[in-house]
Amino acid sequence: MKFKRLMCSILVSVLVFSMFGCGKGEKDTDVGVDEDTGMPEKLTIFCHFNPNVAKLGNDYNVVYGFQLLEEATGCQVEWVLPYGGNNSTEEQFNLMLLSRDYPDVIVSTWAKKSGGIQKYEQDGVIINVTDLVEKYMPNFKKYGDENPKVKKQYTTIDGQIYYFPFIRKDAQLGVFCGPNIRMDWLEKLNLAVPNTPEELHNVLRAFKTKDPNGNGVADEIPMSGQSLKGIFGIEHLFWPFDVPIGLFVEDGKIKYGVMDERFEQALTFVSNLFAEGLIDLDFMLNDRTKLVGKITNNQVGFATDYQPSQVMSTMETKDLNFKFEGIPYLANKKGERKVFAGGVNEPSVTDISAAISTANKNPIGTAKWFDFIYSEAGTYMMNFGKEGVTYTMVDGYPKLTDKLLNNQEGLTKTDAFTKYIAAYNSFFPMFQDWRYYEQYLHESGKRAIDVWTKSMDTSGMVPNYLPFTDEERGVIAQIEEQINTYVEEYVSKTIIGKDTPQNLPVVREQIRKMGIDQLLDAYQAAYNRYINM
Amino acid sequence: MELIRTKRTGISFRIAKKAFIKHRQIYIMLIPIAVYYAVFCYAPMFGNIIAFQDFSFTKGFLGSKFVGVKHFIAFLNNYKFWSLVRNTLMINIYNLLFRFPAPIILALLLNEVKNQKFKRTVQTVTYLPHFISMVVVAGIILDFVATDGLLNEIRRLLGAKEAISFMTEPAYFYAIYTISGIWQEIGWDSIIYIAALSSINQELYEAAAIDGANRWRRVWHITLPGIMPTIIILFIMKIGQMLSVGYEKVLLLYNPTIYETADVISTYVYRRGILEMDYSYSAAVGLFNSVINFALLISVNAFCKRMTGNALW
Repeated sequence: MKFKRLMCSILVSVLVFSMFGCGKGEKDTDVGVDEDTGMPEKLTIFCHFNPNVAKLGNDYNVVYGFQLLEEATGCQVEWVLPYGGNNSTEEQFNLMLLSRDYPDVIVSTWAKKSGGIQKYEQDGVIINVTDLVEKYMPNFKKYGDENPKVKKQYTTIDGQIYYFPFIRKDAQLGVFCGPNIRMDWLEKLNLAVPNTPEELHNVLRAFKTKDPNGNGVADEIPMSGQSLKGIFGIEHLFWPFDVPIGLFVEDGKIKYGVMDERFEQALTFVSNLFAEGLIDLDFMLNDRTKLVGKITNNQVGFATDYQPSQVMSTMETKDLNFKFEGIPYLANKKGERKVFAGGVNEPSVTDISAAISTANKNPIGTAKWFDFIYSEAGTYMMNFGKEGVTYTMVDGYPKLTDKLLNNQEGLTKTDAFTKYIAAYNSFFPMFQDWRYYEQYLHESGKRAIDVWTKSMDTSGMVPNYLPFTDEERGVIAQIEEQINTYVEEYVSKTIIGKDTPQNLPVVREQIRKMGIDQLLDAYQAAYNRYINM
Repeated sequence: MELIRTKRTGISFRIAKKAFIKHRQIYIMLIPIAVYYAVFCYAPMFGNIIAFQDFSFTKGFLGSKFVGVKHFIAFLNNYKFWSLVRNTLMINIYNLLFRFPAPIILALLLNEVKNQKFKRTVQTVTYLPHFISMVVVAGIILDFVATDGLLNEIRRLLGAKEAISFMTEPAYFYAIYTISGIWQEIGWDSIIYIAALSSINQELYEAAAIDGANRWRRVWHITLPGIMPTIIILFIMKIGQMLSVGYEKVLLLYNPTIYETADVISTYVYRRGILEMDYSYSAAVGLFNSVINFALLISVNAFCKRMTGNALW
C-alpha cells in the first residue's frame, strides 16, 4: 500500500514538473565580446536552409567560406534552421515571431513582409540599423553611396535601413533564367530561331509533327514549363503582346495585365497553342525535377528555365548532338523584347536579407561583423575562398583551382561549389561576384546569360522594392492575394480550355468588385514616390 | 422538504467521497488525461477570442482591438465562400457514400474467410498504407495520375489515344481524393469493425445454421445487427466532421487550375492564417467551421437516438 502511494505521488509530481519545467532554459546573460574588434564571439542566426547545403551537412558551418569567416572574425555562428525543408521556412518564421524567442540575427525576405518592415521594428522584433551603418559599417555604407540605384532598393521612404541585403554586384547575376530552345532540332528541321509569337507557333508545330528527336513516335512536347506565373512559368508567352498577367508599368502608370485590352489577344494565342497540343499538358504540375527529366529525355523543344549549364553537362556524356541553347525573349511588333518577371539586367538586391533582432546584446559588434562580410576581403572569402587553396590570382583575376573546377574528392560540381563558395547558394547577405559564377557555368550557360542580358527590356517591370506606406500595405495585404488567386485560377483554366477568353468582361467585373482600383492606386502612389526618391 | 433534500445531498456526497477513496488509484490515473485535455484542448479554446479582434502578436489577447464580427462578415461575403463550403461538403459526402462503407464491407468479407493466413495477409497489406507519410502518399498519387503515369498507361493499353491530365481537370478531384482515401485507410478503419465482429456470440450462428439460414441470411440477421452500434457511433462522429477536411492532403495535391473543386475551408484557413499571417480572419473562419460541425453533431445524434436507439449520449 505504502509503495503504491509512493509510486502515485512520484508519478504525479513527474507529470506536474514536466508540465511546468519545460519552459525556456536560462538565458546566458554574459555577452562574449572580442576585445580587439568588438565583434561578438557568438551569434545565433535564424535562416532558411538551402537544400544543396543540407545535403552536405547539418548547418551552414559546413561551407568553407563560413569556416574562413569564423577564423577571420573569431565569431562563431550557431544556426537556427527550420526543419522540414524550405517550404516551411515562412511558416516557422511566423511561429518564431509568435514565440517571441528571437535569435541575434534573423535572415528572411524582409522587404517582402506584409505590413512592411517598420511594423517589425514597432513590434519590437528587429532594430533600425541606419545609425549603425553610418558609424560602424564603412564598406557597406560606401557601396550604398556609390550605387544609389541599388541603395533605393533596401531603404525605406524616409531613408531608414532595417536590414542587410544580398547584393548582386554585376548585371549578369540578375539574369539567370530565360527561354531555351533545342537548337539541334531547329537545325535539323531547317528553321530559324523564332522571334515573334507567329514564328514560335510555326516552330512548335514543326516540333510536334516532324519528329525532330527521330524516334519514330510523336512523343515530343514542343513546349514545357513549370506552372503559370513566376520566372519558370509559361507566362512569358503573353509578354510579346506587351502585357503580363499581373502588375506592370507603362508610361509611368501602374496597370494590371488582365484588365488591359491587349490581354485578350495574348490569352487567345496561348490557349490556341495549348488546344493544338503544343504546350505540355502537365505544365501546371511540373516541378523542376520533372521538367529537367523531360528535357534530358529528349522530349522538350522549348522551355523557360535556368541557363542550360546543368542540362548540357548531363547530356554531354550521353548525346553529343544535344544542344539546348538560350535564345532572346520573343519580340513585340516594335521589336522590343519586354520582360516582366525573372531577373533584371543591372546590379540588384535579392529578397534574402538579415535584420538584427531586439534580443541581440551586441548590435554594434554584429554590424561590424556584417561589414567585414561586405569588405573586399570578406567578398573574396565568400566568392572565391582562400588564395592558394580554392583560387589563385592570375593578372588580377581570381582563377578557381581544380578543387572546384575538377574536384577529386568525389564531389559533383554543384556540391563542390556549395561546399567552397558561400555565395553560390545565395542564402546569406553579402556581395555576389560574377567572376566565380562565370567559371561555374558551362559554355552554353555563359552564352545564354549573355544573350538574355543584352536583349531583354525590363522597363515594364514593377520595381521589386517599392516604398509603401503602412496604409498602402494594409490595402495590398487585403486585396492583392485574393485577386491574384482568382486571376491565376481563371487564366490557367482558360489556357487548358476549361474557360474562355470571352468570359474576360465577367472576370474583369469581378476583379473590380474585389478592389483592383484601390490596389492600383496604392501601387501608383508608392511608384511615384520611388521615382522621385 | 428542505430537510430531506439536504439529507439526500449529504448522503450522495458521502457516497461519492467513499467511492473516491475506494478507487483513488484509478482517479489519480485519470489526472494526466484530464490535465491533457484541459491544457491542450480546453485552454486553447480561449484563443478563439482573436476571431473577434484585430489580433497583433505583440499586443497579445488582451491588448488587441475588438472588432466584433467583422471577420465573419468578411468571410460570408468572400467570393470564395460558397465554393469552399461546397467543396468541403462534397468531399465529405463522397467520403460518407464510398469511404465509410468500404471498411465495413472489408470487415464482413474478412469475417467470412476461414483461412487464417490469408486473412492476416490481407489485413496487413490493407492497413500498411495508413503508416505512409501523407507527403509520400500525395507524391504517389500525383505520379499515378500524371499524364505519363500508371493510370494513363493503362488507358493507353486499353486503346485510349489521348492522355488525360487528371490533376488539371476539376471534375476528377473528388474521385481522386476519395479513392486514394479508401486505399489509404480501408485496412486501418476496418480494425474496429473486426474487433466488434469478434464479440458476436458464435452460438447465434450455429442456431441460425440449424434453422436453415444461409450465409447471406446470417450476415444480414446476425453479423450486421451485431456491429450496428459501432457503425452508428462512427457514423455520428463522421457527421460531426461534415464541414471539415484535413488540409494536409488537399494542400499537397491541388494546384490553381483545380481550386474550383479542390480548395476547402481548411486549406483556405491555412493560406490566410499561416502564410499571410491574417490570424484573426482565419480564426474566424475556423470558429465558424467548428460551430457548424458542433450543430451537425448534436442534431444527428438526436436523430439516431430516435431512429435506432443507439447514440453517443
